Amino acid sequence: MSSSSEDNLEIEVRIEGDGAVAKVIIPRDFPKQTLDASQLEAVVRQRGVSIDATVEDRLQQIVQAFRDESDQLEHVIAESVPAVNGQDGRLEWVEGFNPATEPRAENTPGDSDAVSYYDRVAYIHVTEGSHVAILHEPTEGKDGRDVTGRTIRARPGKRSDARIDPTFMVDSSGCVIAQADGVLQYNKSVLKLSRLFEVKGYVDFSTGNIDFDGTVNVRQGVRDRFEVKATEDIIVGGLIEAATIRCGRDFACRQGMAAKDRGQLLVGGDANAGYLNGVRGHIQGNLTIRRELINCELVIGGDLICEQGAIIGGSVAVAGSIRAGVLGSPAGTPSVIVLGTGPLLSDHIRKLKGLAKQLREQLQVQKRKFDVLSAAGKNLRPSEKVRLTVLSSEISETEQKLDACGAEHAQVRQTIDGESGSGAVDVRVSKVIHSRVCLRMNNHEVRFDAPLKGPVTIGTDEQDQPQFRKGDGPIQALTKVAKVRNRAA
Amino acid sequence: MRVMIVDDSKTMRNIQRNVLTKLGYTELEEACDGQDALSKAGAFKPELILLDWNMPNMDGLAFLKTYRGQGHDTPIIMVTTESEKPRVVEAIKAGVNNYLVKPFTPDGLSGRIKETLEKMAAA
Repeated sequence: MSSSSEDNLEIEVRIEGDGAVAKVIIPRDFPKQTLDASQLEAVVRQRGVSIDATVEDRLQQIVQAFRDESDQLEHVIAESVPAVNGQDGRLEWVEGFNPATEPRAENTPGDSDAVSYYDRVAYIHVTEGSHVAILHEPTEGKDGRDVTGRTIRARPGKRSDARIDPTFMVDSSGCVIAQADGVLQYNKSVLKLSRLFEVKGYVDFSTGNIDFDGTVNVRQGVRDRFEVKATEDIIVGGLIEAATIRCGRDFACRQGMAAKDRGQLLVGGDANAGYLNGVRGHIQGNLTIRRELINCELVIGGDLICEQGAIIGGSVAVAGSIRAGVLGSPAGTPSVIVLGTGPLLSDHIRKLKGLAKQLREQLQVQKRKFDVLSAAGKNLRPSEKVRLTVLSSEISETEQKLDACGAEHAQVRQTIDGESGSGAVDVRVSKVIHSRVCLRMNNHEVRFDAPLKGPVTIGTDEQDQPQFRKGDGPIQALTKVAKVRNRAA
Repeated sequence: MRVMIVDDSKTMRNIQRNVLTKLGYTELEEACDGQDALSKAGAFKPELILLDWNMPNMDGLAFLKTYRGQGHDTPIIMVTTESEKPRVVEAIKAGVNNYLVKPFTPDGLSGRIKETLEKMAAA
């Protein structure tokens, strides 16, 4: 601190707010003509205030104002430059991918204005290459300084606590890109894609239908009229009502499916369930049932395993073997079991025939259009020439599809013909075959009019004649215990 | 083999793409007019070009002249509705290697491509 000639006329320099502001206070009676800028600067410098051009200008102004009889005696001469703290890193979601706001509560309308509550989308499905978010790195911030020139340190931003699973890639600009198809999951700050879609409760109006590229795990059940489709497995913990279940691989249901003759089960691999009741469908692989298979219309590409349970009513076609506890019911429920690959292939033949018919009709229409247009000969307009080229291409494509369809039909037909009468039959029933059970095997239809106690094994001999064996007993003709009719006759 | 399809009609490009795919060509590039083709040809370096004549911005003939002017000898098949003899001659003089008049069948295009490539290989 410096002073004027009088002790009580000292110029005071005050630093406030921990270096945020520096002020000069000039005593009212300080001799006006004796105050000059250099004197003031010396006082300020001595107090430790950093002097720069701005401060120098300010001091000049203060001296001038004081000499001009200004009443103001207290002047701010310097202010600190505050530190700018760094920003924390964060994940910024691209619209449509924010798990906090998506999926939206409203339903997905179709072409009409009608809203299907079954089509509600309950998850964020991401395709490979989708840009879902931007990962912002933390920034360092900018240091400040106080009026004495001391550095005020900026607080650097913290890294985002988001952790990105390798199912996503973060590029150099922070774009978070999906590396595969799946469901976006962001739990406990971990972002990942899952090929497993979990439904914690029921598939119902809260979830809508599920159509997922991957595996679907439904913890509870599937309500009436809903659909669950998955390219891989479907696992259901509870009861499936009259719903549609379609999976590319395996299906497992801890309880069962009570489909009321309306539910459908289409399985690309093996299926396993507690029971199936009134289910229609097709299982490419094995079907394992722990309790009952009741009134179902099923085509099974592999084995039917129901060792502790019963197969009652309906019509079941099985390409492989059968292991069952009971066939039919004591009440004599008509139960038809078709053995061999014939039903599977016949079904395929039916589909091919339908497709061929559709293609032929399409081809007819295309050719008619082509003929009408080409009748104009050389007088075609350029647009008509283009249209003819398009038609020609479409005709060629339809013909190729028709050829492929025909070739496949011939191949399947050949397989059926080659198998006729030679399909291996292997049916093992541990407890009983009840009356009114009908087994269709190769060229024979076997009807049981009275119960046949197990354990019993049914097969055919080298001449394709149906046989059976009770326990370890001798092999006998099935005609002894059932009516056998030659279907070919 | 890298093949470039230059046509303003997406449908026509799709037809040609299908034919080429069936012939086993998988490195395909599409352009919607001559200008687009010129801008893509540098990076793509086509080994065969299927070229439409009537296109907006830069037509097939203008592209052909510019492209040949740059010293490229890539085989080019003109695929067009222009069937008048003087037009065909004009295109050949400008440097097309083969000519296919619309309407064409997929087999027709396929045959013309094979014929052109065989000629180029023999030359």
